[in-house]
Amino acid sequence: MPAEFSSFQKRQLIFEARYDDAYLLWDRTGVLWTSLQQFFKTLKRGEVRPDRQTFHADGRFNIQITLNRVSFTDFAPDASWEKSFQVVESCFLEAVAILGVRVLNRVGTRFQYAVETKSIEDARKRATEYGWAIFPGKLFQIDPTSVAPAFKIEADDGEIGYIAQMYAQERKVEMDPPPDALAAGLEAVKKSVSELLIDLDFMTKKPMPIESFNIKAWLTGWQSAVNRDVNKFLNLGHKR
Amino acid sequence: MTDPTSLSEFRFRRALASSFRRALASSTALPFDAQRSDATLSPEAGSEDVASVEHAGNFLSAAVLRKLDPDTELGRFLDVTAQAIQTFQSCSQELSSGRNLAADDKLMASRQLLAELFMLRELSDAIGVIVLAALETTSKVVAIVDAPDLPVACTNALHRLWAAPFMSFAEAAPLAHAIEVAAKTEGMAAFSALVDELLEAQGDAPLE
Repeated sequence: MPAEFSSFQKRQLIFEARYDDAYLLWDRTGVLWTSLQQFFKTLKRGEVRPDRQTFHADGRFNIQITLNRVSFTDFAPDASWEKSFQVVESCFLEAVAILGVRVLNRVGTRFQYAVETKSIEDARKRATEYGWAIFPGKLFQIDPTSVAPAFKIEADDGEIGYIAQMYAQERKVEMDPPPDALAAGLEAVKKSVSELLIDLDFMTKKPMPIESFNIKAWLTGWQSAVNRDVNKFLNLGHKR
Repeated sequence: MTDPTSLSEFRFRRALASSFRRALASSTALPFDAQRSDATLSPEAGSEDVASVEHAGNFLSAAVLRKLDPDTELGRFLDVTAQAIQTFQSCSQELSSGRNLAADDKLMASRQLLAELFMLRELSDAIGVIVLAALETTSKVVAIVDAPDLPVACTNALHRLWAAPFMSFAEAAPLAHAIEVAAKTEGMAAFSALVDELLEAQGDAPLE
């Protein structure tokens, strides 16, 4: 049986808004990040450049603010989206107010759900259990040794759109500390995670004035839409 | 390693950061072209430049948010606001056609819709400010013939509110003020005329 939606864990949330170059970033960066500090216990700078800053917060959030986009990522969402939505909403409202953003050229949100598997082959095998992954069997008189099915739907009604995908993936993180860090006892890290992923990306297709946009309605609206329709997306799924 | 200003610490951090980026770049993270500019960018792809957008006044309104989930307070607000706009427009048409009693009926119908809208004021300050002004002002008007500009002012304000319910207080306040000003009349001459019209319709003599 293919994996039901209830067996997928919340894996990641990305919220991104794009706008015309907000030159106030050059004047108000300090104010902006000082203001964002109030929403987190810890806020550490990653990369800081005049036109782009990346910060990490509370060991789970990544916040990136550039001249023409803000992006908030929650790498470790709770069982409920509530905390993620709350942080994204607060930070977004603060950022656009400080940067004086008037029009959002594009708003996008990606919800990712995953089932962890023992190996990438295991994840691919689980993907083959869905109806869209019709396995042709032996081809060219040779049995396949590996099958990597993936499924993707794109939609665009001129105002909003989405890209819904399902695929197996392997994430590898490798860190080789420099000799001085090794000498201090730090060890090299090599970690690999295999998973079957549902990746749902929702976006606006036209610019939207800030006074017409409500981030809470946007996030909770898509969350309701996902809960309503995701089983239909997966049930494309069931083997005939 | 404990001195954050030391050169070795700086080199160490840089090496860690760059090795992490290399690891992400070499992973098999996204088999599709999901990282192209049309997709929502993940942090590791965030260094890509975002193309600028030309917009020639063709903007989305808040109504687009209703597509996600119609059964929300925002959806209800948009529906009731559209009805209220239609009612005020009908009221204006009846007034300009000289059908004052019908115009008054429309005004009374609009009050009910405004009362319903006022229940949704939690959505934004702008909704509270504009709807309260419209509700109070229409309630004070005894006969719409004495405030013929009021339906137009309400229609304009509600049109803007429908498209941009999350506008700032600074933008909402002048719209609310325009509604209040539209109802300022001297005397009740038109109301007296309306009463006469009513009496005449009932077959009674006009009031002296």
